[in-house]
Amino acid sequence: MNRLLTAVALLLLFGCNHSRQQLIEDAPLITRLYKDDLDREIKLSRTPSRVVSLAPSCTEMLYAIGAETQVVGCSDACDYPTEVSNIPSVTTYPSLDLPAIAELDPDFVLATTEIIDVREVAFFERYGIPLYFQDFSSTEDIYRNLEVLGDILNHKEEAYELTASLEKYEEIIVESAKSKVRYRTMILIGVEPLLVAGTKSFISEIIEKAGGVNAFEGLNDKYPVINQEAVLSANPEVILIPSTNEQIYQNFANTYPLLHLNTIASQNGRVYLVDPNLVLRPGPRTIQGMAIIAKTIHPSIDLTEITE
Amino acid sequence: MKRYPLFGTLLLIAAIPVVLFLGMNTGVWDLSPREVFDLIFAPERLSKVIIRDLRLTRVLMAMLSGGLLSLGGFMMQALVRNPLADPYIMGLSAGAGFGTNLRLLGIITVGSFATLPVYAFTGGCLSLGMLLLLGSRYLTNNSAKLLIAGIAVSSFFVALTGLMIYTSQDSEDLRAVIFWSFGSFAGTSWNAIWVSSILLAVLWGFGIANAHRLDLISVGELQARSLGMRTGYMKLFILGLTSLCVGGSIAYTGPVGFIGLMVPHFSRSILGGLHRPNLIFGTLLGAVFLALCDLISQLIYPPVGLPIGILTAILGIPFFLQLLFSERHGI
Repeated sequence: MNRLLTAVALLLLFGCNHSRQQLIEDAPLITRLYKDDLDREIKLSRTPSRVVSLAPSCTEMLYAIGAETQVVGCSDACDYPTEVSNIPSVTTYPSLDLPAIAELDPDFVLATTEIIDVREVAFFERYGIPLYFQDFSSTEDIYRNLEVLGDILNHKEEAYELTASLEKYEEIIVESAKSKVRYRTMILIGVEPLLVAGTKSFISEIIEKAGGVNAFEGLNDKYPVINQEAVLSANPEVILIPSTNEQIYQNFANTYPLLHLNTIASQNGRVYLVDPNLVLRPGPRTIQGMAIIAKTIHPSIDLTEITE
Repeated sequence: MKRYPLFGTLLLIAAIPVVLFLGMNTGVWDLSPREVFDLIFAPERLSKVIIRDLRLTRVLMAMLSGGLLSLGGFMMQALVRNPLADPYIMGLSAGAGFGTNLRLLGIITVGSFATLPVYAFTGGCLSLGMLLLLGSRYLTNNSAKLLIAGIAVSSFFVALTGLMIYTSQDSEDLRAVIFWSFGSFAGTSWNAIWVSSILLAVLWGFGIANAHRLDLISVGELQARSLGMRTGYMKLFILGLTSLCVGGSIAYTGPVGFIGLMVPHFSRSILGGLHRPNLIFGTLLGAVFLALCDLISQLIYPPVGLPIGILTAILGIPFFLQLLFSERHGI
């Protein structure tokens, strides 16, 4: 009797409730295994269709490889391309809005060490949400990440095309900046405390390729806090400030009159604002940022083709 | 009264140029002591700018601030007849912090960041004003209430500052606020040095000249009054002057805790309770001690240095607790 009941139950379960079509859709595909830049394993059983991006650079990458229809959530700071404004935000500055993320029921979450604290993985691991962390120290990392994303989100073609054209542009920039004098360049990220791009940041590599050299070669951090003496010892010849706020240099000069008076860059008037969205976001527009930096450091270089 | 430590005082005076020279040798740019010494008399060049305008100002500011905070500690402790008082606990630092953060967070945007000290001083005066308002009724007869009022005022301004930080949107501003709140002597201008020197001279001179009055006040209100002292005015004057002088230095350096607690305590345990020797010895001790602390912070956490507030608090809290539970020192 028991056996009969079991058989009926099984029949009901598999035979009636699920059509054949449904069964195939629900069946796990071949599990694909990825490793993110923190060396964490990410298992995906199907192509993600509900992607949440936790950083502007991640969103730009997703859109650039044509995965925009798969994006269901992004961060407050995401502003490019403009269509992003329709996507619900999952951050309440300065932290992540974890309940909002959970509510979106994402099957893939993209983050970057540039702005997201790596300790955030705890939440995602506890609830089994696949979280992919990107970490950048060169343009190579940007290309690799674009291609991996293309593979994960089933936009391989677009991703490869994109990286190929970006690589081509990069080559043009590197080629035209190669023979130039390499000016010691300081990238001022924060004024108080003094925060600069160290050699481990990806901007540092961009500076090198754009015909400069990071003024803080000895500093092995990504974005180290330094003091005035370090700036004077490095004595930058060019200062780049990734910001749109023209007041920032004024603040800098007021806070550190010594640096304003004594660095070669200030003495020669070689302090420039550069678009932070182009140079601080490791993404598809980084090469455009590289072109702008090259043109800023060496005004004689002609890169109008790329900067526009 | 114990023996006046002439030897100790002379030792501290001799230590000052040594610490100054050590300070001029501490930094990122690699210079040998010999080179540093030669640079003092060398013509203007970049390395001289570093030695004079960055390293020397930093160690000088640490000294001035150490002296002022110790003096402030002595004054406030005499005032409330309680060795637990100091500018940090009495709310002066919190008020100064509130003022500074008003500007750092862009809630008031008058003046550049160079005017920060003015904001800090105004905030310090604000907290002092509240303290006087709260404590005026008890100023003549209950000093413990003044201490508690100080703690309340301090908490109030800490809460206001917290509210501003919590509701702030700009991460660049937030970093500046956090940086200031740890306290630092880096990047001091010569203007700040001159202003602080004057403040130190005024407060020190006032303290030494009125040492016997401080003794009387710290013994007790009744005794002082029965000897013909107008304690109410005297107390008000001490409170005002201390806030002005110590608040001025906090404006430049950020809040540096526990120096005002630790140094007077140490000094009194050697010299006993009389103010004149304590004010001379303790101020020198505070100056040399804080400058050495800052040098240590730069050595263990180069190049920026461990925030000085952290180091002094770690060193200060054991002292504070010992003082709290000790029965020997009621002043």
